[in-house]
Amino acid sequence: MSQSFKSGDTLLTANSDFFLDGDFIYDPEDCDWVNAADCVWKGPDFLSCRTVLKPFYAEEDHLKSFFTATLKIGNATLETIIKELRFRRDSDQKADGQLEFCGKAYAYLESNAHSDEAWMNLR
Amino acid sequence: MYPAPEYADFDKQLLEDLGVQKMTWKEIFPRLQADLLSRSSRIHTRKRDSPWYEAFADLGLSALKATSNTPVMFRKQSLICLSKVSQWTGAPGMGFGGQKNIYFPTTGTVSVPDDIGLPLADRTASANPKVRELYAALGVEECSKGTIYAAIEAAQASDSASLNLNSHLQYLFQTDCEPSEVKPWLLVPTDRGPKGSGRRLYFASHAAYHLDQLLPRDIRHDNNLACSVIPEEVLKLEPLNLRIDKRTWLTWLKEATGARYHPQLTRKGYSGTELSTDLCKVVELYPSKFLGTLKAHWSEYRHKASQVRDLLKECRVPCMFGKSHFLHATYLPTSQILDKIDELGIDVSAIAVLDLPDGQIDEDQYREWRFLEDFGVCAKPDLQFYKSALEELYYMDGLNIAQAKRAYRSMALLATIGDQEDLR
Repeated sequence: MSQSFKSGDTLLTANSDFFLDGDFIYDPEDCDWVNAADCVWKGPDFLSCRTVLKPFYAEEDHLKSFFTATLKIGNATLETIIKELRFRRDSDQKADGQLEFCGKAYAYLESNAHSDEAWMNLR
Repeated sequence: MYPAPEYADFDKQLLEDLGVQKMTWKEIFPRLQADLLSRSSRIHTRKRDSPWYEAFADLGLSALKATSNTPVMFRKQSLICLSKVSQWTGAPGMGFGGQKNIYFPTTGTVSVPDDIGLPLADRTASANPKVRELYAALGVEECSKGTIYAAIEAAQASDSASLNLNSHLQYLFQTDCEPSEVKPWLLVPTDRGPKGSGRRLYFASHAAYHLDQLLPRDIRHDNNLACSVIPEEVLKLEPLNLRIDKRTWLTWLKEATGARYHPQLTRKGYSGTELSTDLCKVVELYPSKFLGTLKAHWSEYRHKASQVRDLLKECRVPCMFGKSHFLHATYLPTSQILDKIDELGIDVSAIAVLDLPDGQIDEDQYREWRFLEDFGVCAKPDLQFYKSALEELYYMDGLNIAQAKRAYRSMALLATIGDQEDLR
C-alpha cells in the first residue's frame, strides 16, 4: 500500500500509482474501501461489482472533478453491465434475486445500446 | 671582622687611617668557596631577591671587572641558580661538564616553558634587576624565540605525556607566534590526552549545539568516539579579550589547533563528499539534537549543503510521538499541517511531523526552519500527506463519509492547483 511521491507530483501523474494500487475510495454504502478501478462515477443502482460514486459525492463540483477528471473514473458502460452479468452468473445468489437483476440489466442495455456496433458487441 | 653597615657612608679615608683594610680577592675566594661547600651556604640558601643577595651581586660584578685571573676564577664558581630545584652551576662555557648556554627564563615578560630541555636561570633571581645584571655578566642570555619554538617542538615530539602543554601554548601565543607555523606539530591537552591539530578537535562548551554537548563526555566515552575536546581550563589560560597583535587567545587557538566548537557539515570520503563523522554520530546517538544543530549553524553549513543534499534527506529524524522518519518524508509542525490533521480527524502520529525544539512553529519560527525544505521537508500538506491521511482513515474504526470527503476535498484543491501549474 505504501508509496512515496516526490514533492510536486500531481494526482494526474500519480493516479496509476496511488488510487489504482491501493483501496482508497470510500464506499459509504458498504462502509468499505475500494480500488479506483472498481468504481464508476455514474451507473445503475443494481451494480454490485462496481461502486457508483455519484450518489455520495456529487453535491460538490470539487469532488466530482476530483473523481471524474483527476482520477479519471468514468461512467458505467455497456461493458460494465456485461461484467456485472458475468459476475452474477458466477455468484451463488438466489435465483429470485438473479431474475430481478437480469430484468433491470437487460432493460438498461436496451435503453443504452444506441448503435449497431454496440449491439454487435453485445451479441 | 668587618665594620658595621652603618659605616658604609663613612669617609673611607678616615677608616683606612684607623686601620681598616680592604679585603683582597685572594682573601675573599677561600671564604666564597667555603660558603659554597657548606650545607648552610648563604649563597645557596639566601633569598635570591633579598638585599643580601643584591649586595652579593654587587660584589660579583666587581669581581668580574677585576684584573688578573679573578674574573675567570669567579666564573668557575657555582653561583648561577638554575630553574630546576637545587641546581647550581658556573658561568656558561666555562669548561668540562658545565652548561654551554644558560638562558633567562623569560622572553620579555613571557615565561619560557621549563620542561623543554633548555637550561634556564632561576626565575626569582632573574626577576631582580641587580642579580639579573650579575647573571648577564656571567653569560646568561636571553634565548631567541626561534630556539624556544624549536625546543618546544622537539620536546612535544619526544615525550608529550609529562609536559606542561598549557605553558607551551601560553608562550607561543604571548610571543605572537604565527599559528600556521606551529599547527603541523603542536599538541594540545584534550580529554583523550595530548592531540595534534585535526578535524575532530573541539573546544569544551556548555552551548547546546556545540559538540561537547551534542555528544557529551559520557556518550563519547561509552561509544569510544575519536573526537577530542580541549578542556575549559585551556580556554581560561588567557583573558578572552586579550589580543596579541590582531588575534585573541581563542582566535589563536583555533588557528593553531584547528579546533572548533561544532561539527563540520562535510568531509572527504572514499566515494566523494560525505557527512562529517561527528555529525553522523549526532544523528545516530543524539538524533533529537540533529535538526537544531543544522539550524544553529546553518549560516556556515549552507555553503556546502548542496554537496550532501541527498545524504541529509536520508537522515532519520525524530517525529512527534516517538517515531522517526527519513527527513525528506517529514513535515514542519506548522499550523497548516497541524490544523489539517485536526480537520481530517486523524491522529498526529499518522503523519511524520517533525519533533522540533520549538514545538509548533509560527510564521517567524517557520522562516528559521524553512531551510529544511531544501531536503524535502514540507510546510504544507502535499500528496504524501493525504496518502498517509487516507491510510490512517483506512484503518480507523467508526469512519464516516464526512471525514473521507474532507480528505478528498483537500486533495481535489491540491490537484487543481497542481494541474494549473502543469498546464502553464
